[in-house]
Amino acid sequence: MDTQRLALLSVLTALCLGIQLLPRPMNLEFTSLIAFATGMVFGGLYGASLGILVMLANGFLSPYGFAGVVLPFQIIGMGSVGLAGGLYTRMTDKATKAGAFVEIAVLGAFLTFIYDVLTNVGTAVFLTLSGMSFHEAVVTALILGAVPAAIHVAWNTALFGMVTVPLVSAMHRMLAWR
Amino acid sequence: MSIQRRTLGFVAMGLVVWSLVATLTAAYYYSMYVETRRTFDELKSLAIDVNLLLDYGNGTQKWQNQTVIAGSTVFEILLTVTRNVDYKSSAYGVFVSAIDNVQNVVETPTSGRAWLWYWWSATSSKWTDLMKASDAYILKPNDSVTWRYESYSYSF
Repeated sequence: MDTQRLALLSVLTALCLGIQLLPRPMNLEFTSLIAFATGMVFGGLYGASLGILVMLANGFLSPYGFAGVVLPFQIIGMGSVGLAGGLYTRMTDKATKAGAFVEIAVLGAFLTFIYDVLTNVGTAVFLTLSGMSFHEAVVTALILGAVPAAIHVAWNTALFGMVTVPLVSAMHRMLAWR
Repeated sequence: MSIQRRTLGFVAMGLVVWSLVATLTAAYYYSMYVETRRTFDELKSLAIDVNLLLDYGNGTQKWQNQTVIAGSTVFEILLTVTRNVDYKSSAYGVFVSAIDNVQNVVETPTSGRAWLWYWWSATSSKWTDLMKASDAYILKPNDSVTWRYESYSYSF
């Protein structure tokens, strides 16, 4: 990795962590977008690494407090988002064309839903440790997390759909400066 | 063909997310409905229905069917019907001196017009004076009480 790519990746990581740790409405986040875009530009491994590291730091420093047993699920979820960015670039040569806006919006919704299901399973593990049966805990966590998940999915659908393609194009242009 | 399959794949993905999110959201609101219904039923068991007649003594009568919290007194049901009540509290209980600006009047040392309350006795089918202050009688389910503005007189 050359210096220019390393610098951009570092700036993105710092930006992502800074936004993630700011007090903000729960579930309105930019980490998935940045992890996905990083995956698209630098490759799935880097996107996943960014997602994992940011969620690891967030798990301890979040304004909402320590993530506890949900932390591994957040890490896996956000890592998957970054990895998916890389896979999407490999799967298609249309990543910056008009159709990509819609495809990435749908992918954003899908990945966000998977992330929310994973973190709700993490909440279910916490409830199970508190004495509830695992089956009951999963149903409870999924149902109680439904409205935040719906808000999260709607937010990321719009964000991925509108911002990813211009963001990735801008990142490619920056990397082309020599 | 491959573009069509790709498009269908993304459409299917979108529909799956939409249907699952909608199902979970519906399940959430159903669970909230069940919870609210249970709370409502619990609160309902704490409430009783009572009837109140306000008789202004000039031919004006107002019937009110009220749902009040179990343990409420005759005085408290009066306050649920109108806030325009003047009263004094004492060791003997609450004494109501005016309702809806209709004031008690002392005409002579032993007579006048005042607001008095009565309880409907189903066994004798008449309004009965329980000889209690209005804040001393705790209402029972389906009780009927009246506040009546009427003349009184007594002798020593």
